[in-house]
Amino acid sequence: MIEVRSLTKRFGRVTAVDGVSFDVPSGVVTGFLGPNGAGKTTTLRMLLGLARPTSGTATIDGVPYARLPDPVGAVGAVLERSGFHPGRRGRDHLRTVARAAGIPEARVDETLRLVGMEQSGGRRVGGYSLGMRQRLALATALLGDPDILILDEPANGLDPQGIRWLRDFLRAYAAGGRTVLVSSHVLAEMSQTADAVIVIARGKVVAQGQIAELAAPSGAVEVRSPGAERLAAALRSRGFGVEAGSDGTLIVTGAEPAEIGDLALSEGVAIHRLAERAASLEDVFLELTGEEATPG
Amino acid sequence: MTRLVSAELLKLRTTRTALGFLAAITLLTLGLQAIGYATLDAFDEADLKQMLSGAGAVTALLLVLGIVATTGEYRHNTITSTVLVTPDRRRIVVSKLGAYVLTGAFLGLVAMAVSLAAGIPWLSARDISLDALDTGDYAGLVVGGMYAAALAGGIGVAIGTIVRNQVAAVVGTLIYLFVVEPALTLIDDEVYGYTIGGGLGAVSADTGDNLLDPVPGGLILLAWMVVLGAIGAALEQRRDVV
Repeated sequence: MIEVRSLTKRFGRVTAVDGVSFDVPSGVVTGFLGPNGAGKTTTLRMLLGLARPTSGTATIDGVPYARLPDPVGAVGAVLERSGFHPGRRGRDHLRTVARAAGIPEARVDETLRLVGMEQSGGRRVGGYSLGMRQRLALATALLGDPDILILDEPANGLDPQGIRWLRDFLRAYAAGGRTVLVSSHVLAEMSQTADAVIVIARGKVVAQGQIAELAAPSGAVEVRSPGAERLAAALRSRGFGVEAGSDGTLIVTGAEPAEIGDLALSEGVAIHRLAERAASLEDVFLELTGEEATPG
Repeated sequence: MTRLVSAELLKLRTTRTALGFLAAITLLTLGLQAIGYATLDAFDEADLKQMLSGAGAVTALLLVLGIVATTGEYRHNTITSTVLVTPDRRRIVVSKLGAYVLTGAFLGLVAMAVSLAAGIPWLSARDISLDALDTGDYAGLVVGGMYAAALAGGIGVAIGTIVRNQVAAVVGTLIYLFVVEPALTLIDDEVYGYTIGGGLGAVSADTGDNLLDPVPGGLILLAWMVVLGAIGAALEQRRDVV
């Protein structure tokens, strides 16, 4: 269980993290979402004792990271800027961490296998692709077989197969009753990986809850009909909200699909499409974080 | 702590940095010895000691090794894993000091072995008498050389902990060692004996002026390492790893 309370970090006059509070429960994948620069990495760094909070607390199983009796066995972390010496072999990097943590060397090969790197562990990190580095970082995090995994933008640099592999890996990890906190600025990634999300923007938590709740149906129904004008008039006369789009599409609010269908029948108007509109998670995210979609 | 020191030594052995320094130390020892032949003429006790004190010449390299190893953790961001495993940063600093004192002692021994193995036959072949040196002198050279190299490694770690930027730390230290400290003698002859360079010279049988005896010189070096190490550890506790 991770508990963050009123966590704040200022760099000079800039407040990077501003009174952030949240809980991360066990047994699920929790997404930590926000645009780049929202304060995700700084929050995670404070949680892991790498940066000192200006104020507030972050605890893991009730104590700050630095006071955990066996930090590597409790928490494994993959940070965006966790690095490797380019001249050191991947396997040797794991050996140095294992040695410092008092983990037997057999576990090194085990974790290399877990991340699918048994072939490349013997090569120097300088020749690794970004995806291989991410896998090595994950292997490092897994050395202590931790109960909690914290990952900062782990999908960066992974190819589509890698992302899918990571998603399955994290879901399986959480399914075993462990805790996974994974940050991302890419919403699509989260909607398929996380059960719950914490959304952060400009240093503040702007929403938290189950993914399903956040992406609740908006209550609007999309209708397409060759007799759109007639149908719109009939709907309006019954007090429903109607917004007419192009090519005979109507966005109707306040009416159930069944009511619209019945009305269309009684008006003798054909229906070519009738669909409930879910608020896309993307819309919710952009609204919450106040970010405008920029044409890419 | 043994575990952490062992991990630091493993870090050193798993990159090519250590091999590079070993090669540099060997070459520098031999090179300085060759210069000794060309420039010394009396070959009395002081000259012989200076020629054979290989480790004295390599202490600057060990300072650099300690700095490079410590600042390299920031340069390559491996410090993140290091701190995640050992959140108490004072323990990290102490383990690095321990590891590089050991490494320094070992490389000092290597330098002395190279120096004696090359120097003694070379001198003998040129009919230069080694009678001026007795067993105690050789032992003093080896022990002093190892001690100077060991403490140089430790002081390098302490400096690298205080100044995380690798280039700034290396360049700053070399300027300090070869320009600032010698310049102090312009102000006061006695001061140089209490500097890092003066301490290194005193224990590694340097024959320069204004040096303390080996034992007080060695204590001065130890004091430098402890004080700089404590400053570094205190800073580490406060600073963020970014």
